Amino acid sequence: MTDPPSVPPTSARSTAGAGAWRGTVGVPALLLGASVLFFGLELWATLATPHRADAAGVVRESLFTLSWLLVGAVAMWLGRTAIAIRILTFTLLLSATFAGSFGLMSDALYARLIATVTVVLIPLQTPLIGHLLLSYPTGRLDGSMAKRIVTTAYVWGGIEAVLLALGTDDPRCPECAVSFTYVGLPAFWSRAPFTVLAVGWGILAVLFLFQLARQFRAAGKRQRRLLRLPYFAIVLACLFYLGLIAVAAARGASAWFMSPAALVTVQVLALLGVPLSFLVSLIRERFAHKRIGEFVVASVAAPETDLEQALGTALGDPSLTLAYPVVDGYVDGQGRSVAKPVPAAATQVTLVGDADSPLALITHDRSLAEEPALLTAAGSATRLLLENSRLNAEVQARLLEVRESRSRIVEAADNARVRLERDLHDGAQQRLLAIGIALNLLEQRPDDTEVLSYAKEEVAGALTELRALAAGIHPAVLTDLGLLAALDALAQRMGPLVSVQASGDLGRLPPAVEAAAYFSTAEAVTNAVKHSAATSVIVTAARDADNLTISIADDGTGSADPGGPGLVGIRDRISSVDGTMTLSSPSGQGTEVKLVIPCA
Amino acid sequence: MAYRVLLVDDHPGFRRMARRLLESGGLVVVGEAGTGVAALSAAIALAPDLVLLDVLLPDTTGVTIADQLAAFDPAPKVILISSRLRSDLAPSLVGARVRGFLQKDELTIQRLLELADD
Repeated sequence: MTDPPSVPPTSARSTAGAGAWRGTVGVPALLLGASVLFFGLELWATLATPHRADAAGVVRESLFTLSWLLVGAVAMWLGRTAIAIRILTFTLLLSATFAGSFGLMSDALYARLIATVTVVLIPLQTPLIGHLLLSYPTGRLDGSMAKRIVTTAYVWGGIEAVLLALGTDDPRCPECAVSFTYVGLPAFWSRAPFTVLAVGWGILAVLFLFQLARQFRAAGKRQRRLLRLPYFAIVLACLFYLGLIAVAAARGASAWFMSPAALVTVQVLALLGVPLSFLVSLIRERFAHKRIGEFVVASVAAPETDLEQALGTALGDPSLTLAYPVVDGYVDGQGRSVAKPVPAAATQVTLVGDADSPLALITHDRSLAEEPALLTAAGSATRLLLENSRLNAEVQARLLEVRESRSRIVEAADNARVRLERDLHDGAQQRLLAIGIALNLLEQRPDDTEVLSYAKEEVAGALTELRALAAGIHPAVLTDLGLLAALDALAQRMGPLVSVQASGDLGRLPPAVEAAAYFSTAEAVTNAVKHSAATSVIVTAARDADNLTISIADDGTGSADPGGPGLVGIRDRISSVDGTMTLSSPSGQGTEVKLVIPCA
Repeated sequence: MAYRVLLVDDHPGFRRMARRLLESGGLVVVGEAGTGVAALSAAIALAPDLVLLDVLLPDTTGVTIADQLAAFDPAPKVILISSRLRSDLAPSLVGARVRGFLQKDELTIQRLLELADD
């Protein structure tokens, strides 16, 4: 698998179409039904017909078959379709060969039919159980070695089946039902081929164990926990079976027809591991679902929790890692750059969120892929928490921005007051003091025309300065006639460089909006005239149903610093009325400051 | 003997009227300065008897300049002036080595001579 599968927000099961559902669950159900039917029929045939095996043997075999049926049903219920098919195929074979293995003593048609089915199918038990175990827990064989072992085992079983089906002329049970395929091969065929086959089985069993060891080594931590129990049981069973084969080979017989006690031991061992591991798996999944719930609750309560570790614990996969996509790659929870997560031998990658813009990539043990419901729950939980923490981060960032902006506004207001005091002190106040002295002088020498004209000049100068100052604090034209008139007056004051173009009447807007728009524009225009070496500054203003839009564009040098005090001040002012400022200032191509203020 | 006065203030308009005022009262304005540095060099060059010194100068304060002038031999008499209120400036004038302080709106020949002759 090259692309990580996407985890949808809802249950994975609900996303599969109804057809797919029938297709995957239908086969195990069919096998289960057939197994139950065959088992019933064969149990009846066994009870209705004299047979060689004792009652205890029949009870043992029944329990064995029923146990495997139960395991198959559990696997099916867990939604492990592939492995359920493997198990239920095996139970079908057990059911089909159930009565035959007891040596029915009858010439009846049904007894001969059962005998035929049994001799043909019983040698396939070994390859089937090998196939099951090598493909556990996914139900799929991994790697060419495993495939070769299983294929060879089927071929070997097939050859043994043919030999058994043809039969030899020294039957160990002369009264038993004879299969339809019986021809009675010469005595030679009853020994030498089985010896060869037994040696082959021995070699295959060793290769099988070797392959199990390899698979165990390649498995991730989580998968190893799943494999430990069945592997342990099967290795014991296998070693025992190897011994059995050795004995059988010496006698030139099939292991399946050797000592019942030995066979029972193998069965019990094989019986213990797989069903128990399924029970464990079932309980584990139950607990895992509970842990995911706890994980979400705990993580929401303590957002600083290490999400990766918490998720790993919840899913029982300590090797689990999280990677978050960023603009130029991926980072881990601490913000360190990491390689793009790709599936490896023991791991898979699952995507959280949209396939196009995922919130995170979970790299996890391959075995988790067999628990789609669990993975989906984990994915949804992660998504929830990530979105939560992202929202949280956004709120925090916004709050910080507002705090910073507020303190900048306060600072700007303080600075403005200091400037205003200085302007008054240095300008009008000094002129008034000079006028005061002039009046004193005129009191003594009323005919001093020089002092008189000087005093007149100072009065005119003080008046001009006070007007300009008042306009800077809040231009009267803005209060009296509105924004457009104030912008026109601004352009007048700034000289021929600056022109104002308005599309239509801007009308009157709330005083706060008019003031923010006016002073921001004034600041931008001043910046353009002072710093950009522009030859023209064009202010355009337009208003639609929702927004007031003002653009201040110049043909100057560009490269305006968006962090400079002028632009930061504009941004603060505009955001105080929920507006936005955008800056476009490519080097050498002029500057455009665009203000959009909602005014619906 | 009429005082030879150095006028130190950063507002040329005020200096112009103040010069008229002092001269109308019979004082001799020997020089004007707009900054602290200019005031010190003018004081060295012109050796005035009286320095009318603005408290807030662009480069320094009148109090600092007054300290420098006090080290001169003979030291000129120094009167601080300011457009600010006496009450605003009082704390920063404590210990200043000057004859006195006048608000600019109180500046008359009579008040000036009262302080200078005291």
